[in-house]
Parts: sequence; structure tokens; C-alpha cells
Amino acid sequence: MERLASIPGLPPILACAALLATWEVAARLLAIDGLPPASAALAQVPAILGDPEALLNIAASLRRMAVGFALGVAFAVPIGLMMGRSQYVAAFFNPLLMIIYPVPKAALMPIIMLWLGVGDASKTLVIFLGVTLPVIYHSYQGARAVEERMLWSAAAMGMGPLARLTHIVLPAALPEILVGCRTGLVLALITMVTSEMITRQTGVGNILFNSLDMAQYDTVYAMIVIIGGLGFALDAAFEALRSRLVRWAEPSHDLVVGTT
Amino acid sequence: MTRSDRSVGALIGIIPIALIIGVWQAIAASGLAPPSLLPAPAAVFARLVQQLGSPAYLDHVATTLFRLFAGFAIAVVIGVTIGLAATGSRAVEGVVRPLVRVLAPVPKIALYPAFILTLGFENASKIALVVADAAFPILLATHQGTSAVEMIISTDGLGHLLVRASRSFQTIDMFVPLITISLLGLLLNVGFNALRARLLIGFPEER
Repeated sequence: MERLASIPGLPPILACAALLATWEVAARLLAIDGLPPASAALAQVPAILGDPEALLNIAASLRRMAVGFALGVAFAVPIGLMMGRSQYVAAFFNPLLMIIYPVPKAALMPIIMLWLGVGDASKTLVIFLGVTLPVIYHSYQGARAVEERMLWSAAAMGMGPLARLTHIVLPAALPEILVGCRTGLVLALITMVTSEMITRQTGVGNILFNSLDMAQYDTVYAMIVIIGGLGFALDAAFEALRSRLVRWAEPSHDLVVGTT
Repeated sequence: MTRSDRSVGALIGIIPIALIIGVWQAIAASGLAPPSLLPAPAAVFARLVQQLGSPAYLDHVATTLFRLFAGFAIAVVIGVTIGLAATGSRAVEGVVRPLVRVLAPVPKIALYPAFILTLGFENASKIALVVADAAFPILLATHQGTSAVEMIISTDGLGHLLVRASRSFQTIDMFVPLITISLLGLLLNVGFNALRARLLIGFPEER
């Protein structure tokens, strides 16, 4: 058991197999229309991934997610770092962030659609909003924890405030920032699906909820598997990148979750 | 921070909020955006007060809160039980860890159709979504021994109002649920922090 668990990549594969087996058995025992067996759903996956139109939808979703995520990180990291280094900047943003925090970003979708239409702009904006808060929070925490002595030394050697931010605070806070980015990535995926669920135009969320409306249950579950796989793959890829970038720092959390 | 620093901080914090409401009011008053796209803040807040006195609206709020608390309670029981079991036994941890590794990054909203199909359109499927959403952070927090369990907000009751309002283009009614959600979230956060402070008396490392 111990030796099996130490083979990299094997435990998640076993976990997937166990989940699929449980699903298969549960579906056969319950025998209801709304829960096809895992084998029937998985049989649909190649059909969806072989359909050029579905692939275009998935690509459109991922493009919006990438743009929203990149803009969100580019916007949030400087704000978080400045909040961490200046108590006035922190006092300026904190109450506003406290008010925005409990609003599920997807709930803004109807209003944003009213202003920006149902196209890419609305969906990308919602993804952007979903990504910013966790990244701001973690950048803030990371920048707060930077050792004062390093900053004093740098200031004594004549480094300006902006250079101190980019050359000392940013690298020192990087491990914590990347934890925020990982949460942000999961949130980007959630807001991506939710925004497409509401607008029903293109994307994976559109395929998912349209097939639900058309009672194509195998496709519904196949899409859930595809979106779940997407989430797992993106998270694993980001984790690999993160551990390369900050190999010098101790891992602070090895699992993250995001919520709507 | 000293006391006067703190009041200065509070004053600084009001600036961006006042600025946003100010700009909102200015745009609405200038006629740049028609009221059907952006109603004036006063109109929205007046409607909020009026709605909070309306039994039908409070009914929706109650539905949301019921689903939220039911889901959260179930998630706490599941998450804490599994989290403690994983801390206590290497074998359980060996099973739970890879399962969490696979399931945690899955966007839970994608599971919603499956919940609808198996549990129906009513409360059960929405509560199941809250459980799926909340269980993983609680499990991880329990396992990591931290008590930083965050409140998770479900929006179905109010969310339904929001979508209905957007269909009928009553823009004012779209802003009101958002403000209610934000207020609810703030209240829940304050309540939860107070509870946490009471429970953690004697843990000096918890501020």
C-alpha cells in the first residue's frame, strides 16, 4: 500500500477508477433515467471531442478563461503588493473588498450582460472579477510577510520604492501569490462555466446545460467528466509550474479549492 | 495601529465606496445612461428598503438562507468527519488524499445538472450543490488543523430573483438582490467571526 502510494501519478488514477466504478454500480442499482452508467457517459466523450463544433466551443471557453485570468492576475498582484507594504493603501481597499467579497461574481452576469451584451466581453469580465479577489488577498498576505530588514538594507543601498517592490517584495511574496493564482484558476473555471450557463451562447457551459434541456443525459454526464478533467488537468499543470518557480520555498498548501 | 490611526484608516476606507456611489449617482443624474440601464443609487436603496418589508421578498431570502445553512451543516459534518479520520489514520488518508486531489479542482457548478437529474429541481439539488462546494474547504481546513473555515454563499433563492428580474428588464430589481447578498455575506461573516473568537478563547495565535 505504502509503496503503491509512492509511485507518482498512480493514486489520482486509482481514485478516478474508484469514482467511476462507484458511479457505474450506483447507476446500475438505482436504474433511473437521470443517472446513466459511467460506461454510457464515457462512450460519449470521444464523440464530443471528435466534433469540430464542440472543440471550437471548448477552445472559445478556454480562450475567455485565459484572457480573464491573465488580466485578473496583472491587475490584482500590484494592488495586493501595495496593500501589503502600505497600511494606507490597505485601509483604502479593505472595506471595499469586504463588500465585494460575498457577492458571487456570476450573480453580476445579468447586469453586465445588460451593459456589454452577451458576447465575449461580459464573460471575460466576470472571469476577471472572479480571479482578482483571491489573488489580491494572497499577494497582500505575501507582501505583508516580507522581512523588513531586507527592505531597510535595500533602501540604505539606495534602491527606490518601485525597485524595492519589483526586486524584493515581488519575489519574496511569489510563493503566496502563486497560491492565490491557483485558487484563482479554479475560480476562473467556475465563473467560466457559470457565465456560459447564464448566457447560453457558446462554450462548454452552453453544451452542458443545453444537453440537459434536450434530455441528452449521456452527453450531460460526458460534459461533466470533460469539465472535471479540464479542472484537474489545469490544476495539475499549474501546480507543476508553481513548484518549478518556487522550488526554494517550502510548500505552504498542497491543495486548494475554489468556490462560487 | 493606534486609535487615531484606526479612525484615519476607517475614513480612508470610505473614500473608494463613496467615490463609486458618487460616480454612479453622477452618471445616473447626467442622463448619460438611461435609467433602464443604470438606475440612480437612491432609487435602488429605496427599493431595497421597500423589498425588505415585503413578505414575498423575505420569503426568497429565507429560502436562500435555509438552503445555505442546511448545505453548510451537512458539509461541516461530512468535512470534519473525513478530515479527522484522515488525520487519525494513514490508511484513510491514503484513500482520501487522491480523491480530494482529483475532486477539489472540479468546478462544482458543472455537477449541478447531475444533481438536478438525480435529485430534482427543488431544494435537494441546490443543497447538494452547497454541500459539494463547502465540503472540500472544510475538509482541508480540518485536516490542516486550521479553523479558517470560510463562509460559502449560495445564491439560488436570490439568484432566481435576479434572473427573473433581468428577463423582465427591471433593472432596479437586479441591483437589490445583489446588495442583499452582499449584506447577508457581511452579516454572516461578522457572526461567524464572533463565534470563532468565542470558541477560540485561549488560542493566542488566533487573532
